[in-house]
Amino acid sequence: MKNIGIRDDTVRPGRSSGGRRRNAVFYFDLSEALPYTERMAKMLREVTGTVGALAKGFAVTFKTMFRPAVTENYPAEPVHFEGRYRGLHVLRRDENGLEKCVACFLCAAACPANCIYIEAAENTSDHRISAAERYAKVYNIDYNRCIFCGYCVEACPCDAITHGHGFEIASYDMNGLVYRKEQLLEKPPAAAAKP
Amino acid sequence: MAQFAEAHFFLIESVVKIIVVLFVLLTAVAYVVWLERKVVARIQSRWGPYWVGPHGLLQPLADGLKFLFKEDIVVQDADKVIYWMAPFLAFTLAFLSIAVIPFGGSFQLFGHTIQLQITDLNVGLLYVFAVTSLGVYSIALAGWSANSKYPLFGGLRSSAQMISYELSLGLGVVGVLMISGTLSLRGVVTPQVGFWHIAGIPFLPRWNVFRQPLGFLVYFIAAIAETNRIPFDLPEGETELVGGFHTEYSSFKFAMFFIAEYANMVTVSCLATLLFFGGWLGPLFGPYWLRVILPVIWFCLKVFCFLFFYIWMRGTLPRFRYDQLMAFGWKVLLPLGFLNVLGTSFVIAWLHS
Repeated sequence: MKNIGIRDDTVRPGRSSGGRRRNAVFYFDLSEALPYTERMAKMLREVTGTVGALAKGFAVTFKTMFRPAVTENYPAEPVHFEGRYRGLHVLRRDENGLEKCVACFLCAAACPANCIYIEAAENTSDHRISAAERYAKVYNIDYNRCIFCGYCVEACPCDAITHGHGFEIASYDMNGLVYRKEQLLEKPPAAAAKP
Repeated sequence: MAQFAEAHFFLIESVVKIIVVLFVLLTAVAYVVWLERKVVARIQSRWGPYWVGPHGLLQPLADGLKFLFKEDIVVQDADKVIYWMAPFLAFTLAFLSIAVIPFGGSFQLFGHTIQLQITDLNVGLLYVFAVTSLGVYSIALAGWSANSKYPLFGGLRSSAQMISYELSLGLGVVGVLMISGTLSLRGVVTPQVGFWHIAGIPFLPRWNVFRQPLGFLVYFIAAIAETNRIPFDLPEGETELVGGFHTEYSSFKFAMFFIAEYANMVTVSCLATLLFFGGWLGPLFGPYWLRVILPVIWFCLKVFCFLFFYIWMRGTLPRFRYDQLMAFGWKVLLPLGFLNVLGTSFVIAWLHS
């Protein structure tokens, strides 16, 4: 009874006819020393099982025909992003509209592609860009090199650099792919923009 | 003079029928491709062709144009003559068999009886089998002449597969032939007219499929294998043979193989409809012109159901392994076909005694 179902290619010492190669799934074993009725029952079980499995499969695919499509109609309609999508970076501002980035260089250090370039400068009382001592005078991300791994976002102690959902950055010009701070920075809030 | 006019009428009638049938068949083939892409897309929760025309309805046209304008690459070491001949062979043979397929009854026009069929050959079925078996040559030659390993594998596989399954294909329809006693495809439909009655109430149309369920099963499975469709598409097998016998074909030569495959699909679906599902028979009502058109509609609907099933199957089943394919063909399908022939002949002999 142990050879019901799919058999393998191995040579099995048979009881009646010595070693024989068996390798087919569609092989009804008629040489076993089983009574005739049992052999027929086995064969029938196999056939009905197959038919049942086929019917089940066809039912599944028929049902899926009526499921709504998951296709995003992208150029015609906006894409739906998951919240954690890693797109173009956005440099954030705090609640006062000041830049969060304090030019600590941790993101540049964490970057495996070495695509972040920062120049730091001191904040003064009449030229205050960030809340801390220093701010990033220059903050470039070279999107020729960026691999969107998200390590910079993880490394940032101030939650200044984050991933946005932008992705349409294809360009005919490599120079255009070096994004400057002005392009990455979040828009100033309306209240803070006035003074 | 009357004879002369008769000959003229026959000529014009034939030409008109050929043009109409070819046009319809080509359009049908194009839109079966569209249907296939749509249905398989739906099974996979996609939309399928969408941008070219409303619901992608002009997609076949765009595909055809694309094929026309693609570069026609010929492999350097190919056997040029055969390499050129193979796609034409496939295309021609696929379209030849439609000549004997009846798609409706007949009607009166200018005192002539016009049959909705290009020609009613009295060996129609044999003719179809002969032409479709020749189709093996196109695939085997395509695989051979490209002088490249994957096409060769595809060609070899297909010659083995199609020859094996042709036997079962023939055996599947023998039962029907024994019942109807004719090889004419029009004659095969005639015994299927009417209903079976239980206590005076018609409950089942007298279609051959109810008399020959096993024959139908054998025929249909063998027909899928004959047309190289999933799950029997080993000659093409994209995942293992890079496209099989048509790997080295491009541009319109590839398109011809493509069209031939779908035309064959339509042919075997037509044949299944005629042999087992009562052909154009169906409820008739209304004025004379409607009674002429309705059978054509029933026929097209039945063929459509088969084509849909083909596509549905493509979206459902995986491909056979080669040894499974051969074992299934020779050890299961062929004995079943013999069994069906044997059983049918016993029943007929018993009924006639």
